[in-house]
Amino acid sequence: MGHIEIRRAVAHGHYFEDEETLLAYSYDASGIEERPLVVVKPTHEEEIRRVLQAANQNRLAVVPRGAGTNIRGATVKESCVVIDMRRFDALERLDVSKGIATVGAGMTITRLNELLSKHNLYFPLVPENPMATLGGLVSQNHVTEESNLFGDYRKLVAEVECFDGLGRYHVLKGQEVERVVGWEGTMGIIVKLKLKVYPRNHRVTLNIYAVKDAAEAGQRLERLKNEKGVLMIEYFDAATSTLVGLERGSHLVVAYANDRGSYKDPAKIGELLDRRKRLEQTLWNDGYTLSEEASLDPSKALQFEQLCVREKVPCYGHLARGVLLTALKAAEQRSRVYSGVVSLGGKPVGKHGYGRLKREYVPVEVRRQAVRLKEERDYNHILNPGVIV
Amino acid sequence: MKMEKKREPEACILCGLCNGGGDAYNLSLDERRSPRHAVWSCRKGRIGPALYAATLNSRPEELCPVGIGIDAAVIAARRKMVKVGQETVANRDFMAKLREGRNPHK
Repeated sequence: MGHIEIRRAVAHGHYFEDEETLLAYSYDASGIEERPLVVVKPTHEEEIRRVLQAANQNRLAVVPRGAGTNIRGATVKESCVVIDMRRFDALERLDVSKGIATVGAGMTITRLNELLSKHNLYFPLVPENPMATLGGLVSQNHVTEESNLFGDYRKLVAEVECFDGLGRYHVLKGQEVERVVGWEGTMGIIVKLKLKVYPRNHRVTLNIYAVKDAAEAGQRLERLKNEKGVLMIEYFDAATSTLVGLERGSHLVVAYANDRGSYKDPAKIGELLDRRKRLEQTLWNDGYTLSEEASLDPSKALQFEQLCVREKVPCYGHLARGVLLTALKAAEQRSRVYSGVVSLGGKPVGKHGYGRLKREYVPVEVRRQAVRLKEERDYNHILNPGVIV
Repeated sequence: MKMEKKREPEACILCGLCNGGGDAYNLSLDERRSPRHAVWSCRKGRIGPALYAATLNSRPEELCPVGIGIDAAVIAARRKMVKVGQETVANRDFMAKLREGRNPHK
């Protein structure tokens, strides 16, 4: 039931229920496999509104999806209606003087930066998977190593156009964007974004500190955090130091968007930053295929590093933001790492959201807030059920 | 040049990075025609016309962070399709014309 209404809601050729399509949308990068009921690929906002109305009438779950690169299973669900947003992939407007790009939610970050490069502009928060779409990244409120200077995705979103679960269209500005940013597709379907973009004219210099461990790196933080133009402050344990091309031992790397750093050779700096950007991919190739993270008070960084040592996995990440990263080889390591992080007073998220995989770790207050917000915007709970609430 | 040994589709982590190099996927934005889905299908032992969407341009393989031998896996799956008589009609016609010494594109 409900198939017919959903089919009628979209244009001819935008509705799919064939075996191959359902299989192709039954997985994302999380490893979770759940088969949807139907897939729609709208090209117009009106189609999304009608799909949401039909889904409400038939109490069908709706899962928005971009490139399917989510590693927490937020884009797969059994018997749901998948709304594939990839066709909303246009750069609709670029205001060079104001540094604002208006883009469709289905555009990948790679494509956006290709288009911006013609104007010597860029969007700075590039994740480890450059195939991810902007709608997905905003939904997770993603964080990258450059977030030290630019903040998280929330900070770079000037405006969001979205549908709530009841099919009402909203244009959210300023603080209002928090009604959808970071809610992992549970509070709205993002259609269009106004993003802050920046001129690519700053020179990057580095300071590299050899440190004994994360604790010593943490001690240096207080002074460094307040310095001007700090683009990133990344901690690398001995294993990841080698992978990014540093000398033996652990390191704290501070990148400046100015001349403050003592390492100034652009070629060497470019190589190190590129290796950092591809570090997750390097780890995947080495068999550490399960990227994980922890949000912690930096004072607990050493305990997290010790946890990683016990699990024989790497430890690195955005120390100044209190987001430390690791990568596991086996799924059974997950529960030990998650509970270890919780016992340190932290959260096993910080970069990729909770998705379906970490739902049990959603704090009670976040869950309560989600329930409250759902009452206003999605009282039939059709938007991405099973994620957060 | 050092040739790295390619991995089997079973090692795929489904990250989707390969999709950036998929001609058919990038033109159609259709997951069925993505390199990732080709690898997933090979992993599951599924054969079907979608495997013929791959242009075997090697770019998805270059983008794969874990070194899956995507092209070889797709070719092996297509061979299997031919063996069990499940190749596409277009492929069957193409091969028949070649065998008859005719221009397969006409």
